Amino acid sequence: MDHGAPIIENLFGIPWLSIDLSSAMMMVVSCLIVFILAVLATRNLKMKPTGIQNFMEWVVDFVKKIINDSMDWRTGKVFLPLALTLITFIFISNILGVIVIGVYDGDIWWKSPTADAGVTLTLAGFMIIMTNFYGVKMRGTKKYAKSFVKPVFFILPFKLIEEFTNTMTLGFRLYGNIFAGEILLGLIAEMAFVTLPIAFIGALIPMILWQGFSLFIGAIQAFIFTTLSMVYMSHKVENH
Amino acid sequence: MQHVVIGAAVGGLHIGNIIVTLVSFTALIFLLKRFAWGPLINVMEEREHFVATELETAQEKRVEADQAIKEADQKLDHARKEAKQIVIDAKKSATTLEENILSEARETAKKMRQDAEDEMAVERQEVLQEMQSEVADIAFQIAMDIIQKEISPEDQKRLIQERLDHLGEDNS
Repeated sequence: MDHGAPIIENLFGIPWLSIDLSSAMMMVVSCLIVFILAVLATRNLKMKPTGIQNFMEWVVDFVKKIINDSMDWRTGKVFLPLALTLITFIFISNILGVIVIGVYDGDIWWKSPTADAGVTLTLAGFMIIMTNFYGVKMRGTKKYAKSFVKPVFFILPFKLIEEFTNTMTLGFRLYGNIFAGEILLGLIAEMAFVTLPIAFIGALIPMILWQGFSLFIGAIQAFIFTTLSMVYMSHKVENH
Repeated sequence: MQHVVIGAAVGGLHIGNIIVTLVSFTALIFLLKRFAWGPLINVMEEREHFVATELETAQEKRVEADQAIKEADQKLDHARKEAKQIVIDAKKSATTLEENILSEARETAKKMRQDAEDEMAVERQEVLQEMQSEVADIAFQIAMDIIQKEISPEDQKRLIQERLDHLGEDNS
């Protein structure tokens, strides 16, 4: 497990710009896979749905229900594409690292992009910024600002801290789950090649079990991330 | 070793990764909205709309059908009543016609009988008259036959003369 990460410091000679190439690559790969799958699945749509369209419509209904649970459908309708992208992207990202972990020259290249704290925190931060953006857009600046001092003015610091902690918990929850899953997958894989050939067979069963569980975790985490994002969103865009 | 693993994998926050994540994820949102979710949601909404319209149309059609059935029932009822009336009228007119025909027949029969009786009376009269004259003739003949045997031609001549004289007397 003592693999490193392909980090490049001082990218383009800019001192503060560093990049983890594997995360960046996996991020782009994940986006591409999600995009291609989604576009393939929604090709030649029909009024009478068949096969893959049924599945995609089930996904849409599922996300619709997530949004409906946290806010009124009339306000929540706008967020349907966003929530759909979130849940599909995070789910695909989560299971990318479950299927296989690619190591090249001592560095991990193929893994879940969501097993990188930088990526998940960025996603979480992006979502929190989106909630505030839509809060201003849908309720107006005055009402939005007022929501920070409701019900009493001295709640303001707590509300500000809440924005920060929401970002942290949202990002780290996803990262922790997926990262831990990959560590254990790596440990089991390492165990298979320790000494005896018998260990390979011994490692097979926990490997299968943990991969199955990781798939489950990946789905659950995608669901949780999307649900919480929508709940935070509802706090900002709905009048209380 | 544990320290190395965690340290290496977490690796701190890299500005480059943040930029890549933001750019690619934002692009993904817009691209998916444009090419996947948009059309999919549209189709679903279209279907919802379609189903709603169809249901409404079906409701309307049902109301119309109910009304049509009611109307048809009314018409049928009306037709039945009319038919009944027609039958009653026909029966009535048939009865009248029957009576007319009967009375006419009766009258005709009566008239025919009357005519026959009249004719018979005339005929009888004629026959009677004919018979009277014939009987007279026959009687005369018989009388002549009887008389001829006893009267001579001279007497006959005289008798005729006498008669002629009488006639002349009667005429004057």
